[in-house]
Amino acid sequence: MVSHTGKTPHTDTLKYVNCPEPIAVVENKEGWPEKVGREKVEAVDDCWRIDDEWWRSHKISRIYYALILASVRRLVIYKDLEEYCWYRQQY
Amino acid sequence: MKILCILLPHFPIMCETIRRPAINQRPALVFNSSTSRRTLLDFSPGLEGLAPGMPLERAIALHGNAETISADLPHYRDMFEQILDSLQQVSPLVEGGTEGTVYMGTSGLELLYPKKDDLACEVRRSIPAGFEIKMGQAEGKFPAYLAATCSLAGECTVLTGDPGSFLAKIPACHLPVSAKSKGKLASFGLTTLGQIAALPASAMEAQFGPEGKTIHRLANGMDDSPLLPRTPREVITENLELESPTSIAEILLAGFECLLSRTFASLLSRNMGISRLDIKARTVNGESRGKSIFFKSPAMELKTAIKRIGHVLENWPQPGPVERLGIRITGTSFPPSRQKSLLPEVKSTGHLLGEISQLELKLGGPQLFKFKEAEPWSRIPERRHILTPLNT
Repeated sequence: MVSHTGKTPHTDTLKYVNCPEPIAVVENKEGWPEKVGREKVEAVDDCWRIDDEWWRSHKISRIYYALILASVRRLVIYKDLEEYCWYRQQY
Repeated sequence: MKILCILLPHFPIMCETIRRPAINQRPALVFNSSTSRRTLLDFSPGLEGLAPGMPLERAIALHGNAETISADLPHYRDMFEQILDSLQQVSPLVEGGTEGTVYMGTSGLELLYPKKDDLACEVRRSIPAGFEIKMGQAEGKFPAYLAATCSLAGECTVLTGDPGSFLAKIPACHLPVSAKSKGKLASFGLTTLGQIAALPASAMEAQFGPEGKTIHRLANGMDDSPLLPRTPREVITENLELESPTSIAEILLAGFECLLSRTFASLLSRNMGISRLDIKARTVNGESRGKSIFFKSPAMELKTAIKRIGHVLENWPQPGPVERLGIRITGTSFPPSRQKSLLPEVKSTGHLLGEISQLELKLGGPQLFKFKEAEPWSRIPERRHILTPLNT
């Protein structure tokens, strides 16, 4: 049996890395990203969907887009299909 | 190994006689009053019916005209140490047994002292005048001791070859064994070493157990107990006569401080400290008391030593006003060295963690984290790696 360490556990003692950041996205009619912030999307390089932890109350359902912006910058964003919010995240 | 045993009979009374020659005129009894009972420590040669350890009252009853002297044990120890120091100039292998008994390793000394009596003469020269000296030389400490016991004053008996004939008539009471074994030997009618030597070793072992084997070997003149030579040491002695006798601890402490300050000056110039210190105080009644103080790590400062003496004085009541103080530094050593860490990185990490803890206490909550893999296979990017506090 593991002995008690005497320390009070805190939820903030562990931090997740690469957490998603909310981002403003303008969608087109099909629901695809058209603008990210003020920058126009030049092309959608890749697109994929993740559905996970569906057995939990807060299930994960995201659709990711790897975008090429007008500034030739590559950006990965996703749409949370549960909350219908957009986030940017390194993948 | 050839051993020379040097006996200084009636050592305490001889020390007193050297200090106060007037004692020589009449018989004297030296008594020890360190315990509640006053017991006889030593007596003038020639007094009949006395034995060390007997109650003083009984000794006075036998010799009422004898002068009684309170034992000055620190003084006797000082004298004995001085004698050992002198004898160490003759041979480096000197073992001081009980006060008045010295064993000296003499193997190889025949090159320095080729003639038969040269070594004995040198030993006699090393011992202050006034002491009676008896010497015996043999292979082993016990035969040498017996040879010295049988010698005349100032003479040296040398046992060569088989000591059997010499030992045969020596009383068994000289054996260095327990009183119980001595009593048992007497009950068996074994009164001389010759009688014991004539018996088979197995019979002695059967009756006396492991000690029986030792008794049999000693009775045959075989003693393989090693010589334990003392290590030469630097001794610093300082004494102080107080202007007016006192028993006030603060004044005694000031006296000791005065004595120590003299010695610290010379010790510190050599980067040495005190590891053993003997303090002594002599009262106006002539009673001396001594105390040894050992320092776990050498006292490098006067303040440290004085603080320790102060503690000792608190529990060291004097039998009367003190007129003379003395210190004797018998152990000096260098300050303890610090082992350099074989793993400096480990230590530096420890220091760093200490600093981080301080920082977190100031700022509240974890401030520095370790990057760890959590679920590197996860399809959800934020689940792959986590940061954990560094100080957990």
